[in-house]
Amino acid sequence: MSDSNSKLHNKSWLQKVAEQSWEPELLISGLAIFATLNLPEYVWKFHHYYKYNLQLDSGFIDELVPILVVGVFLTALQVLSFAFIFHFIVRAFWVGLMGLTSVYREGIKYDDLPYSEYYKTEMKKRIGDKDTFLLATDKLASLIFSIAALFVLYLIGISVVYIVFFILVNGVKLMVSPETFDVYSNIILIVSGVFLLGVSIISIVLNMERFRKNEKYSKIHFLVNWHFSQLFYPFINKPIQFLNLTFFPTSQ
Amino acid sequence: MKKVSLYGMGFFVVFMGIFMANTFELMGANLWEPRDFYNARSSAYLMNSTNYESEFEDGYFNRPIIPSPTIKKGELLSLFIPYSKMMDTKLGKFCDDFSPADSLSRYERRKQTSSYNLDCTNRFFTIVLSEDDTLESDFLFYNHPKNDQAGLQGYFRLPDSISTGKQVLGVYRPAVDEADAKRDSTGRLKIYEAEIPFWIE
Repeated sequence: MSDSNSKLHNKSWLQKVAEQSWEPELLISGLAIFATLNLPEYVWKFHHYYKYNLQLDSGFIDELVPILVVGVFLTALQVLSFAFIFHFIVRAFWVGLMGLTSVYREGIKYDDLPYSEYYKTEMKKRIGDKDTFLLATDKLASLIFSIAALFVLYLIGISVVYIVFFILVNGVKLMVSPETFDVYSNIILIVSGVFLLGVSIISIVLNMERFRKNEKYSKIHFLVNWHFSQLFYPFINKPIQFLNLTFFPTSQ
Repeated sequence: MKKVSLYGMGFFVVFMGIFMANTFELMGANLWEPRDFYNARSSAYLMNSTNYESEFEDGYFNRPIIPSPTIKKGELLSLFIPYSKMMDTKLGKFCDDFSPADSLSRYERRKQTSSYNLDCTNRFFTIVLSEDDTLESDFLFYNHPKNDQAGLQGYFRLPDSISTGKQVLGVYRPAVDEADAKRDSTGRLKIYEAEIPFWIE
């Protein structure tokens, strides 16, 4: 197959998949609603299990960090269930609209409506024809779906960091004396805080207009951001970056 | 661009609101009580369903429990204190180290260690009836049949002179570390402590 034929084939295949994406979307959305509505119960059970069997002490590391992790998970699941339910409704509405267009092929016949010209023109301007309306609904459903996916990826990353931090601190707790642990946990907290704050400040400063045009600084900015993201979101950095840059507000 | 930023900010605010509500729920704090003369944070005046086995549905016991809010006069009062992993830390700071003689058999060593641990646990907890009578505790290790949760089970004979009506069973323990002392200084109950109201028929 020649290159041009292959490209044409890929393009038509991609278009076909894109056109039929509502089918897997509805299926995934349905499953996701079921999962996100049932998972909080297990998160609560895990929290109780931790408190009863694993929590060694009260305080920031042993008590508050796990509460924050569980809190993030519960919030994520609630927001996701809202997003998926909303997506399901919008997508189902879109499927209904598709069915409607097979009955009313021409859509709204603005010219035949028993209203004034002004009324008809305004309605046409604000609602549009059937294709515009269908396209807008389709876009909204796809947008909700991808925002929810981005959100899931972000939260997976944050939770992994929390869990690594927790294991890093509590794993050592079992092996060293309480005095050594106090020093160690303070060092870990300070180093983590300085690291996070430092990277954030460097990223903000180097993205300022005056540094963007400097090749050396822009290279540092890119490398810091990219490696930091790799560290924060191992294995899922690329999909996160793809979705993030897609949604990123541009100047145009 | 402005519209996108506005949506983003709106989403962030909603997310943080839900996150804070979940976090406070996990901490067992209700900061948004809208009723002026109602307070669910004062232990001595709150009838907490998690203190009664009859109200238990499933999961883990988080605090000391008695069978039900009412008992008949003359009956023994049962008390179960769940033994979470953290109690090791607290008891470790309260009890002296104990190691039975090496010359003893394994069975005898285990028996002596258990006896010492129970004795120390019984000294660790103080059980008080309506702020007046200190009840002598004789806890035993117990795996609760409802959820197989490990804990301490004790039975208490209430004084013959006790009147019918409302009583409060207090479960107290000493402050053994900085976190306990800090909590104690605020007048709040420490972990494993409880004040459980009940009624004698």
